[in-house]
Amino acid sequence: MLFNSFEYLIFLPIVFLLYWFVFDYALRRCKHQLMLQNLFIVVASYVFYGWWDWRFLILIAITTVLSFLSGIGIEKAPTQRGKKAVMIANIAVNLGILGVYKYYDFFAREFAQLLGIESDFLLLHLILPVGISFYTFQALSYSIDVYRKQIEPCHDIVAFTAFLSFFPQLVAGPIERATNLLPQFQRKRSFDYATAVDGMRQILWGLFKKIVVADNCATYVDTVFADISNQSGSTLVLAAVLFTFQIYGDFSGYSDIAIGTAKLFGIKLMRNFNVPYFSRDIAEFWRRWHISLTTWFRDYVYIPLGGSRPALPARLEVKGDRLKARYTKCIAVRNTFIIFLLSGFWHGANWTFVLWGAYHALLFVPLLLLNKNRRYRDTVATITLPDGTIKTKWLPSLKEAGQMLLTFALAVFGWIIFRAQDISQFGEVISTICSDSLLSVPWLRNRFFYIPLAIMIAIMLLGEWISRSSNQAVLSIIKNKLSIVILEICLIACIYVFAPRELTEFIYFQF
Amino acid sequence: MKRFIFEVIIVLLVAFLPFYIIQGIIDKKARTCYKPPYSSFNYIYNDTLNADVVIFGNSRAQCHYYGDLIDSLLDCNCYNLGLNGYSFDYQYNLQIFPYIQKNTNPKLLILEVGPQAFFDHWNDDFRKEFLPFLNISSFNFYVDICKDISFFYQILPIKYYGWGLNDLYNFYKSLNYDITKKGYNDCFAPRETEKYVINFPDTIYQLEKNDTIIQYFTESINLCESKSIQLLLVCSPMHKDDFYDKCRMDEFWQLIDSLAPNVPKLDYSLMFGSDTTYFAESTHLNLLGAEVFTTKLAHDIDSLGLLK
Repeated sequence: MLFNSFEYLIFLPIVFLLYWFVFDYALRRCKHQLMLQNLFIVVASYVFYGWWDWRFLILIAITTVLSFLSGIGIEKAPTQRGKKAVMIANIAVNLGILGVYKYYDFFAREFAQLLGIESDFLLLHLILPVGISFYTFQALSYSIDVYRKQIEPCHDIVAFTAFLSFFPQLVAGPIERATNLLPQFQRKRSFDYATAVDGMRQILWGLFKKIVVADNCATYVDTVFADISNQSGSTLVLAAVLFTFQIYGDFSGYSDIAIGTAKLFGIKLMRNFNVPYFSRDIAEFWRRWHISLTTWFRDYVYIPLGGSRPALPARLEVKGDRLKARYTKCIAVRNTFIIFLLSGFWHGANWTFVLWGAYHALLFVPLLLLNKNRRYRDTVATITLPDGTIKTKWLPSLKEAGQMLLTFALAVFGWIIFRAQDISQFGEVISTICSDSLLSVPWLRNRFFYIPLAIMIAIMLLGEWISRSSNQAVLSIIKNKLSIVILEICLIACIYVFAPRELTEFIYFQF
Repeated sequence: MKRFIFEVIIVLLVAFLPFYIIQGIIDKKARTCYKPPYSSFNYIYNDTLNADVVIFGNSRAQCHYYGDLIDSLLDCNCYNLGLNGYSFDYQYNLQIFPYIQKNTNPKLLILEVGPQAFFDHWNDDFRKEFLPFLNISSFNFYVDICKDISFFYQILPIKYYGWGLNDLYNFYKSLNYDITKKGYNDCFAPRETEKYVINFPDTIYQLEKNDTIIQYFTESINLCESKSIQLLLVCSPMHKDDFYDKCRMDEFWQLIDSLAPNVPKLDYSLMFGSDTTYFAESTHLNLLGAEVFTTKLAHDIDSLGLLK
């Protein structure tokens, strides 16, 4: 079921009303009220997920049961070694499932190509279950956190299932940590007017980004990328820029809808995007883009590998500082490449994603080597006052604007790799862009396409700029009530008028 | 909680109210507008044409037959009532039968034929054209097909006029449609590029033999026979490489011959071959193609004496 579908428009109010009126208010004296409310969330989430294909439910149920049992197994194992074995077994099974469904055919095809044999008999042709990478990573984080004693193992299978299958973030994140989400299913929730209103506004803003910006950009981008050989360089550049907005509107829009929907149910999800296109360098971009995945890799891969400050092996302890520093930097570079390549490969079984990860690693490494990767930890064009409050400026300085523009351009180039069907198509795009046709007038469809789209992208960027230092949706920042209502009505009208004829899936569902 | 729900409902109502008002205004305009597809319904349901020559068919009829040109060449009164995406069952029930009921018999009824007119899986998009007319009782009388018009189109205001500003603007422009074109519609598909494009490049057009559609094709022939109306079956030009060769034309003509053995037929399908000068896209002619084809057709009608 898509967030932007008519089914969801019916599903959400029904679930919301039952959740609060039946499973909260009507059962308030029942001692199993919390369990029943969680059970209702599970049922609703399984209906939501099973709407794509009920067979997918089997996989998520397997992941849920295994991860739940692994938590108990880690707790019960008498030795540290036993605990580790249980955790590794759970990781292996979950990654095994992910690997078979997502990567097996890819590797089989590559293997067959390497040997020069026919690959058909090797392929499984399995349908990739929606959002498998998201819930698998969430399940992995649970057992690792239990092993690390960062969270107590959960003994309530209903609460645990609700944690792993909570429908707003089930298929495309944010990839929640058990430490944040699981305790919320273990305590009573109560309806809060202000949170619900904030949630609705976040949903509205997310729908605007998805339906108005992303889906309309997609109509142009898909047309251009479907017929690259007949496009001019300037058209391809424009398509790459529009894809940059499309993927942001699509994915951050999804995250906004997910976070907003969760707020309606009294659940707080982590922030997944923090205005990445206003970053001043690529390191800042990665602190702001798909935060839940980036921090996942940081916490569960990068830091265990030693991060940027690895422990020195004993044989180096006695060596000079220069050698130690060189060793540290080498390991940090290695680790950086590992997480960027893994992050790229996480997106799908295609060399373009690996190349995309490598490209970003190459951009990141110089900053790391120069110790400039943590230079911009604040938000652009803000001043932190002595009392800790953050004051935002209307405009960035010229230097900041230049830095943002450069980072944006680097991101656009990266998105060309990401969007290409394969490496050869990427090569074709780049060679066309580098030809004389770059100076020609790009294909713009018609003025009823590009003028409104440009205005809508500008509105999205303006909204994001205004709310850049806040954790709330842009509408919740405005204080004047009448202005908010007018803006809400305008956004609904825009969403309605610009909604494309066909429903389009969220890009990240395929991952 | 109650306050929250109440506020959400109020905001949604206020947001959607203008669309329903716009819907009402546009519906009213649609029922008096002479731009296809609305012209075809308005000509049939609101006006009495009493034309000498009427043309029915799908989008290929709509974009290929220049009624005004036939008027001047044959000194008659001709209307093009072709409708985008309609198979013979729709054409009979919505157009041919009600037209003949309301008007004096035409001297000549031209029916555009082609493999596509036997298709029975048209998109809902084509049916949305009925929606402004649903409150006309005479229309409803004929349209049992309306039952399966998409639910969404009926409850979502303005959406059946288009899904973007472009569509809505096109509709707005259509209010100023040149009435002298008498139902002819300049081909719509390649507007964005203004150059020849291949429609459905991967499609192989199978000839479908749907019983209902065949039944209404036969009904059309019988109706003309019973009312002594001269019927002419015409297959207008098709792009040879990109359309004609993808259709089983031999099989198609065999079917037509078996269903209408005594009806005169004119086949112009290969008139322009693969010359893209005359085509907007593979399945439709451009304005030049329509003028050249209509002129040729008018001369042929004249030489065959079909209007006498």
